[in-house]
Amino acid sequence: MTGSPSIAPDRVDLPDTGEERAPARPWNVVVWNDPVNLMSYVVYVLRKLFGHSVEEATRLMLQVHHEGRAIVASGPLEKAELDCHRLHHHGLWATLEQA
Amino acid sequence: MRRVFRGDESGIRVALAAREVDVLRSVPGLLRSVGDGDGDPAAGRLDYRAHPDDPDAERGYRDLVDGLIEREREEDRARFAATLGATRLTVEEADAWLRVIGEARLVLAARLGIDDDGWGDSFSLDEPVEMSLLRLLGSYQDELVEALLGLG
Repeated sequence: MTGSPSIAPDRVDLPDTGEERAPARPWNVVVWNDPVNLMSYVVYVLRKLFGHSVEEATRLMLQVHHEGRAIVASGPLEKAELDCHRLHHHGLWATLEQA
Repeated sequence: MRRVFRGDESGIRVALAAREVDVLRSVPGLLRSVGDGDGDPAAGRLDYRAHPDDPDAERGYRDLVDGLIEREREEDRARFAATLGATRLTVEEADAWLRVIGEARLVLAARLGIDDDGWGDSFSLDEPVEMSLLRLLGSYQDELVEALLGLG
């Protein structure tokens, strides 16, 4: 495609906002302790939803039990929200926080 | 010890007695009753928030999952009710059982005022029937998890 004069500028100067573009911070999916859900069930859900090994799922479950909470997954907001929803669907108390 | 759920190559075998099936038939009604009365603590337990301290972010979350958990719960309950009395469950059906039983346990515990660990350590012959049902459902859920894990 030739022959037509170009109307595109040679260079575009973006306004200087004084802000550096930082990569988006991931969101952590946090599971909270509750006194009702069985330990075995929590391990099962963490393995099923996140593909954790039995050792890792057990470690996270025990962290929830002893420390009150554990980060079970991290990622972009929309994925973290869907993970959080899947935990809610399985009856686990989960919330999100930005890393 | 008698086992109610066992995993085998094609799913879960179920050996519930007729009276046990009758007990489980009360579960869908229990779940339907959530929120019927003013101040039902079970309603709060099942109302999950992803961003409890950020109303704007919570609105975005609600938009994303709009009505989804209600539809999924209805599907689970329908699958549970349709397979009550069956002697075999597929993995998907057993998963629905796990969620329905777990949800019923959360409802019972909320209404019993259980909010701390250690409630299951003591036992009384004159405990409320809801507490007995909570324990029974816990034993079913634990066995079902074990049966499902045994498949893998």
